[in-house]
Amino acid sequence: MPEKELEHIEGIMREEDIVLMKPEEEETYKKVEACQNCGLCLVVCPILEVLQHEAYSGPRSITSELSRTVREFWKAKDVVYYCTLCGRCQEICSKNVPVPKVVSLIRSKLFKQRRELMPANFQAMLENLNNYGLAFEPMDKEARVESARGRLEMLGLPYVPDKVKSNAEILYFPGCQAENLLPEIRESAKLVMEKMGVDYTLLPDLKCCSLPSILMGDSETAEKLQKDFLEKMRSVGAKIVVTTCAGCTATLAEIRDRSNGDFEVKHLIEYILEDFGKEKFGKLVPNHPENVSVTLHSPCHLDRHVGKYTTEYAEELLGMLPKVEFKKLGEPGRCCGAGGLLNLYNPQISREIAKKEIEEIQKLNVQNVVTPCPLCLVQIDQALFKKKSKTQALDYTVFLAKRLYGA
Amino acid sequence: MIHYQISGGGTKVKVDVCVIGAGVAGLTAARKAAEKGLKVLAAEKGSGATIQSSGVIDVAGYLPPNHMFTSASEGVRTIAEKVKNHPYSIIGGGKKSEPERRGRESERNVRRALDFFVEGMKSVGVNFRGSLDENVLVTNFLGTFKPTCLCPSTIYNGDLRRLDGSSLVLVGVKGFPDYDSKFCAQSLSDILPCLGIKPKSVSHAYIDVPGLEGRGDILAIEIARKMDDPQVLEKIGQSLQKVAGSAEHLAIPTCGVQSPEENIKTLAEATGANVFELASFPPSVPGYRLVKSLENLAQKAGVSVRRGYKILDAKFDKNVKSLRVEVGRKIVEIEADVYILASGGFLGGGLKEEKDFIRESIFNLPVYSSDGINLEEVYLEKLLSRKVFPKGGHQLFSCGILVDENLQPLSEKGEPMYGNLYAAGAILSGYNYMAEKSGMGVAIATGYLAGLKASS
Repeated sequence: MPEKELEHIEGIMREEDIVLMKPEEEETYKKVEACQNCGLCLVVCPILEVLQHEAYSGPRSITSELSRTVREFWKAKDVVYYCTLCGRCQEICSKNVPVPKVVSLIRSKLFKQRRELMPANFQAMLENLNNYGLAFEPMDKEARVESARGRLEMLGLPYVPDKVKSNAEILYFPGCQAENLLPEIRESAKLVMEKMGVDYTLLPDLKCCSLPSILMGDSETAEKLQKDFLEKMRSVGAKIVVTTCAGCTATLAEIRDRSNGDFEVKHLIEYILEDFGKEKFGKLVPNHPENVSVTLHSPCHLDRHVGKYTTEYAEELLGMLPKVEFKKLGEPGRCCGAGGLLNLYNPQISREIAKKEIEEIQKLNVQNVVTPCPLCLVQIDQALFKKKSKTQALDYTVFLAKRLYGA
Repeated sequence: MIHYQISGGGTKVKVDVCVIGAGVAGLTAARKAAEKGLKVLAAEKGSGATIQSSGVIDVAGYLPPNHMFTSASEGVRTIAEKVKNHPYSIIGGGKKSEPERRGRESERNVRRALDFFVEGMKSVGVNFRGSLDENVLVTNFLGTFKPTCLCPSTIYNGDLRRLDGSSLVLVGVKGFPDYDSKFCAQSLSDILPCLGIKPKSVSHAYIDVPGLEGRGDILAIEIARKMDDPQVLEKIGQSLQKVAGSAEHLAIPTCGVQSPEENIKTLAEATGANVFELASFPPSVPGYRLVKSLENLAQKAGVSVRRGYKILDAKFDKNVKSLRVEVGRKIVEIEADVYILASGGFLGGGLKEEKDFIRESIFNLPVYSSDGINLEEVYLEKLLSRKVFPKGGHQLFSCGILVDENLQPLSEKGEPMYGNLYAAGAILSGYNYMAEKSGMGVAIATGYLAGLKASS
């Protein structure tokens, strides 16, 4: 159908509040019909641990509202922005109803048809993505390098310059946070890959993986970013994309699946265990001068959206590092509260959720908590700082680099 | 920790025993199998019936339609002797065995399994009370009752026979829609005389839970979490004192998630009354506590319990070779020496509906009705009654797979289908947990035996 005609019809549909769905969206939407209204999701939802049911009717209300009424998705507007998309509801549901996917779907429809309902405090990030294709305003290159060097010095790690080459085997995708706010993560990834001696390249012009756009419901920008990524992949020609952010891993993997791309997407932890090899990596790690006790916060986007095996991998890798004492959290699998843009929508509630995870961490009395997700890292770091805790939060890749380089 | 073996052919997990399903049957089987130091993995897709259960352990309440057993041991023996194809009959030796012998052997096995359960729960700080020799009568949010065998001590305190000659106040929470204490009191008042119980009085009251005042949509889990807060618990104790009057017994809808037993004790001390928790319905806090305790217990025994593992299908010849499992975005192969199918009934997903027929979801094992009819070509609707509550229950809920005395699933020819496959729990045919009040007993007993047989 010609563009103009389609636009015209879409316009009429919008006026009549009729929502158009793509086939895969329809598929997701239909899955809510399996909801039995049992309420088990409400028992495990992290938001309901800190916010009353009165203010947040929870995952059950999203599915039951949609499966039992005409598709008036905007009725879920009060619930849908509180969700961190942690996936604990889906995990325990006897029918595995994909609540996180439904939440993203509703947000995208709200953005398109009822734009005024999108939370105002998403606006700044929306503008960044529009202007720069990144979630955060970028620094200029020199400032970035200086910042990176400074942080590396504090960590006792060396600096290696960026590598940009064509036809590398690995494309390293740091993600917005590591690119601009936490450069030590990006640098540490380079250091780890240098030690491994693998063939990698960076992207000179990195754009966001599109997860923030998806979370805001801005599917147009999301599609633009995804197209950009796929084009870059084609020109770079790498066989595998390696990331250091849980959100990027899940999102890029999804993009790969939908586009039937012939490359893989893995978090660095997955790459080390699956492609590089556990034994081979073990031989690279020197006997570190210092003992350290550490626990793991497994990000929801890896543990649940990529797969539980990522947590096993992360634990296994920590367990084989010399002089590292790994202690498992008494109640693992908690959400840090920062996901789903909740840290923007309602920072107070977001912080209350983090407090619960901090309580778990503090029970162990370890020196470090490591996490393979920059978003979780910032959230946990801030919460530990507020509690004046002795435990220090570190990014997982940064921790690996420190152990590899004796820092 | 699970060790993944990654090779060109994909990702594999190798264990000694793989249990499919981590409900009460699966976790019992897994823990028993792990006793010998074997590497055991319990793979769970999400949840099933156990987490939604009332929190008490039914073993043998009725011989349908309405003969109530005074003790679970009487019930197990009677059922094992008289009810063909019932799991209790099978674990007593099956058809080959003489009825009386079957009854005794079955009771012996059930007793061992329940001891295993109670001891295990005790080791993680959860006290279950009751015995096979005397059924307990418990009530729930609706004021109905059922005979059950074991209860968490918080619920056990509410054995209805204790009410004879004494006063009970059912205490509801204002704004908690799942439980109306007035309605419950009316129901219970009607029912107790039929049970030969004559209380002095059964009345009702409502209290506020601090922090949840003015609400109309409180969830049970919210109340339970509040009660774990000592400051809130103290205030609740004071409120209970005010409404208790001189009543000897106080019933509350829930008593906490993390420290239910301590909370009940605190409230009992504050009121000088016998405070007890009611058996629940979904979303059930005692059911959730039960699964969490079972998981904790299994993990302490060395079992790897994994949620988010969805078994797709199996590779087999004479034996089961491996399972294909969906773990997030990855398909992983699990290779085990022995497999235990504890995948549940319709809620657990072990049985599913496909084009109006009932099928077993993973191995496509033949499914039978409780009277031994192969359901391959029997439409589902034939197994449902037109009455909503038919005597003896709907036939649908007593359908499942057939097993031999070793709990090995049978083929259509009546022989074990695979040499290394066992089964336990709601996947089994031959019993109706609703009409008999036997669900947990069957699950624990068959789980225990399956774990034992699988590890030998």
